[in-house]
Amino acid sequence: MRPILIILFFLLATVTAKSQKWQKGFFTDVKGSRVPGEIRLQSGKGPIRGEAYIEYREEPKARPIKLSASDLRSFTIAKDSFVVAANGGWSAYDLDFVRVALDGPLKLYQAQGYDGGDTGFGVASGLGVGVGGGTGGVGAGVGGGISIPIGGGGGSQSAKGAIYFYGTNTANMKPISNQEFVDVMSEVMGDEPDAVEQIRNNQYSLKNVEKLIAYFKSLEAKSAKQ
Amino acid sequence: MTFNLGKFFPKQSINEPLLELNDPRWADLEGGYKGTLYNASAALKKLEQTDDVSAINEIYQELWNELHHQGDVGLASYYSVPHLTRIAKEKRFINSNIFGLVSVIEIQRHKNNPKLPNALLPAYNNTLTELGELANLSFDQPWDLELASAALTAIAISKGQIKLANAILNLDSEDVVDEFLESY
Repeated sequence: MRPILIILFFLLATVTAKSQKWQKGFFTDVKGSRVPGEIRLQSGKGPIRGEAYIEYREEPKARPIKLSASDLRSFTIAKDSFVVAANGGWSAYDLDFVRVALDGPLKLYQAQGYDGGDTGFGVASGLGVGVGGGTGGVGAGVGGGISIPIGGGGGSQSAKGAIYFYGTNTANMKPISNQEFVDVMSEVMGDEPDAVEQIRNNQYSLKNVEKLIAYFKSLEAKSAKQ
Repeated sequence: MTFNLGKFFPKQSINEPLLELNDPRWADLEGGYKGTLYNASAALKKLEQTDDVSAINEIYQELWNELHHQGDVGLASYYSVPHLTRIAKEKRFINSNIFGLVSVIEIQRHKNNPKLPNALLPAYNNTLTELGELANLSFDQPWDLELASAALTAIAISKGQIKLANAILNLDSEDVVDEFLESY
């Protein structure tokens, strides 16, 4: 009996975190081709070890195919868009997907936490190791790299266990800590003064960041109409 | 420094035994997207009125998208449950959509989501029992893995076996089943 319980525990701890209903969407492959159909996020053993994957089918009766993270640039399921990101300590995979919670010059990404935060991954904000290369001309250099957060259970998680990051792309995204929340979100949402005011008045935190995102989007929609 | 009065006087939460589909308060409820209101009554009314298979599938797709999002459910999700089951029973919609959707809402309700209104509890619980009965009716039709997983989940839900239901619901692809059996 015990092995069954152990197996069920691991199923609940891992598989449920991502298993989703088939939903309409599209993916963009590494060559930039956009392919519409039905998609669902899956976990478990994918086609390539260490990579997250999705299942895709052209229509409900078609046979599903598995697409590994390295086959993809991005995909969209219903209202949510995801991009591929290298793991920085927040995923069981080396290459995983993050949701683009807000798209703009400075983006907001969300990882994991699809099922109540029982996945056990955490990120300690601020513990970063910059890995990058630089090229320099005379007296100037440009560096780029990947931030690798180390540690567990930091303040980057929402009430549901989701981890939020900010950055101009996934290569430089950094987890948002409670301490940085006001400054980072004020910058991300800088185009909407009402949202910034609410953030600065501590109306929102990582725990209810999705409500803030919804509020920001409603303001954006209003501004677009004017 | 400004004050948000809404913070001190939060909007009164709804606590009704059931919401009829023409009740205007549907418009004030959140679905699966936090901070976003979703009026589920429009889709439920459409579901009630149509027999067209593609229209039914589209409505279910919308309800899947709106009533559950990444583990989040809301009051619109809870108040939809009695109607979803009633409509499925009346129209004999015996498929993985009805079993899966109601089961997901019930599974997620037990996690970090809004509390079910006390007044709704009796009707909601009756509905879950009816969901199990509906799943029994599916014995008369062939089961693919998706329907098998959803129907068995619904039966577990109707008996209050939430964790087991959650496990079964996820055994909805050959690969996951294989992986489970390999470990075993």
